[in-house]
Order: sequence, then structure tokens, then C-alpha cells
Amino acid sequence: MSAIKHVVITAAGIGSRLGMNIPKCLVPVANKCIIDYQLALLEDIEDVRIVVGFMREEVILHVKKIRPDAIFVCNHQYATTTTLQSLFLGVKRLKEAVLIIDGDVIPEAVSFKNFLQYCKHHTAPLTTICRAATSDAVYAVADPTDDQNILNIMQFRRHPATPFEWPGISFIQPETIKNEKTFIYQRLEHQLPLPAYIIKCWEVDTPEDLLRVNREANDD
Amino acid sequence: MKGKIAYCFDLDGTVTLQEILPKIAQEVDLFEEIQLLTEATLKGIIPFEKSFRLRCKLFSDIPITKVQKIISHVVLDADITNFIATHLKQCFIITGNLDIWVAPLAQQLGCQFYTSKAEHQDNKFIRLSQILNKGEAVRSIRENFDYIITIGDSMNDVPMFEEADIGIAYAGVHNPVGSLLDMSHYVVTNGKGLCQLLNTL
Repeated sequence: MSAIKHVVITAAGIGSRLGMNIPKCLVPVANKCIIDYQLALLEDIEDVRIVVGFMREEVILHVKKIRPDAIFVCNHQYATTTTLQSLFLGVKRLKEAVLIIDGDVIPEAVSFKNFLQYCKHHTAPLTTICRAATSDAVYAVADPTDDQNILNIMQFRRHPATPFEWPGISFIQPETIKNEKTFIYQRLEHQLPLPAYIIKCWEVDTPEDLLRVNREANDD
Repeated sequence: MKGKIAYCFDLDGTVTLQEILPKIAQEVDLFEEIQLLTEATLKGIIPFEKSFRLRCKLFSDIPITKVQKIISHVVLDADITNFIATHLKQCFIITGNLDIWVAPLAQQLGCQFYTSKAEHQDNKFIRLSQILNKGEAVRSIRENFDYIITIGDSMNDVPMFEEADIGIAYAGVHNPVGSLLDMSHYVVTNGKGLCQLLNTL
């Protein structure tokens, strides 16, 4: 069993689909920013890296209050690069397996902690899967396994929809990530079939997602 | 990274948890004047060289040993101090501050210092003989190292970052200037985060 040493949160983008003119990690959901939920779940991981770009000073000032030892990785080309390219900068020079999280997703605490436990006992690459809910999802075609918590992802696709989507949380070897102008799930396609832990989470890509997530957070 | 790495630290507000010159000013009743000058300098409104000459002039009547005594009480970041102690031959302090003033810190930290230089006589500062160009300091360090990592927070660190392979903006004491952020690979907000990062480079 080995502890997860590194986590990289990608939070450099403009979030143009949401269109709020603040980085998605600072979007409030039930009076807390998305990144606050993430940092609370990651407090046991010693090396927290956040890739920043759009409104970097605001993100840094906010995180400094919660996690003063976080390391901010600068993506100065955030306006013209993809999340995969931000992640490439984030994992650069790391030598051990790293947990990666999109800056726009709130994992539900219990299932996420179970996933972290699972990572400690299994080798990377591992990923996560959740019930499809967002309006612009990366869907996953997945087969059941002997473990009821795990599905095997056979394919990622934008269309047609499947019951499951990929929430942007994985545990991978850093060398998996290349500096290519594509998306993270397209890098993971090289590793299919990929074991995926079933988690619950809320992702905010569009104004409709934010309305739904806020409604569900208030219901909870 | 493969090869020999040099770590080049700014001193004021990076290794020290307080700015040094305002601390001296406090002791000699020039705090507000120096504070204004320091703020304007950190923001890049007044060029470092002009501001530093002015600050030296304001302190020129204070006996050097008195300045040294004040400086020896400046609080240092424990994590960074520890990192330097365990990498003595690879760590360098690159400071625009005066050799005659920061001597106690050089002794305390034990690594090599690149500083501005002053002429002195009878325990008194006479005049500035050389203002350090941080870029030149890094160029001379590069002769013996394969990679240069620089850590700093203000305008006068820009030439040092220009010469480096990796630039780390330090936001532990105050917010780094925008032009330095624009050329930084990483930003950290305390000594623990900085050392965590340095240990993975």
C-alpha cells in the first residue's frame, strides 16, 4: 500500500461554456467555491498542484487561505491551449503516479474517499466513472467487472449518450500525459480498457449544470 | 532534471519573513519614509537602483555594527533555511542589499551570497561601490551548474529570472509583481510549498 503523493488540479481555463468571467474553480456552489470542496477532500495529500492561468492572482489568493503550501503551476498560454496541455505542465517533472482532477468537478465525499483508498492498493492507471448528468458530457461505454465498484471503460465518446460519463478524475503515471492540443480523455484512450471506480460527483460546464448542481446541493 | 542544479534565492521577503530595510528604518525612526519607498520599489514605480541609493543615503549615519545587529534579528523562514542548510553548495543568496549589512545573515545561512558592495570606514557607510545586477550573478553561477532555479518576488528579480531555467515566484510575504509572475513557471505561497516543489525538480 502506498499513499498518493501528488495531485494536480487543472484550473487554468476561461470556462467559456459557463460564461461567468471567473475561473470555474472559484464558482460558488451552496456558498463555497468548487475548489474549496476539492481541497477539503485532498487535505491528506502532501503535494497539491494547481495549474492556473485565467485570473491566476485571484485563484492564488483564494487557495493561499485554505492550502498555503499548494504549488501553483503557470500556464501563460491558457487562452489558446487545452486542459491536456495544462495538465502536461502540472505533471511535468513528477516521477510517481499522480491523481488528476478537473477544476470544475465536486466529488461526493464518501465515494471519492473510497476511490482514493482503492488507488492506494492498486496500480495506476485507474480512472473514475459516474452517472451521466452534465449537458456536454464525455460519455463512457463500460462493462461490468467482478467488483461491483468497478466498471471497465471500453470507449469514450461524445455521441451518442450512454448511462455513464467520465468526470475528469484519474490516477495515472505522469508520462501518460503529452503536450498535445487534444483532450485528456483522448490520452486515456491509449490505455483502454481502463478500470474505472464508480463515484458520485457534480460537474459544472454550462449554466444549466450550475443550476442543477446548486439545486441538488440545496436539496442535500 | 539531470545534472547539477543551483538554487538562487532572493533574500528580502523570500528567505526573510520581513523586509530588511523597513526593519532598520523602524529602529531609526524613518519607518514611514522607507515604507513608502519600499512599496513604490516593489511595485516597480521607482527603479530599484535609484531607490536603493536613496535608502542607503538615509541609513548612512547609522553605525554598520548597529545595522548588522538589527539584521541579525530578522526572522528567517524555517523551511527555506533548512533546505539551504541541506544543499549548502547548491544554494546562493542573490540580494541587492549591502555586503556590510547582510554579513550576519551570510554567516547564519552559510551559503554563498551575491550582494551589492559598499565602501566603509570607521564603522560608517561611505558610498555604494557596486549595485548587484542579479542577472549577471546568475550568469556567473551558471559556469559551474547545468540548471538554474530562481526564487524571488520583485522587480529586481526579473533579470535573475531571465537567466534561469525555472523561475518560481514567491508569494509568502507579499504578492509578486505581475511582470515576474508573467515569466514564472511556478508560484508558491509559503516555504513549505517551495521546498516541496524544489525537492521534485
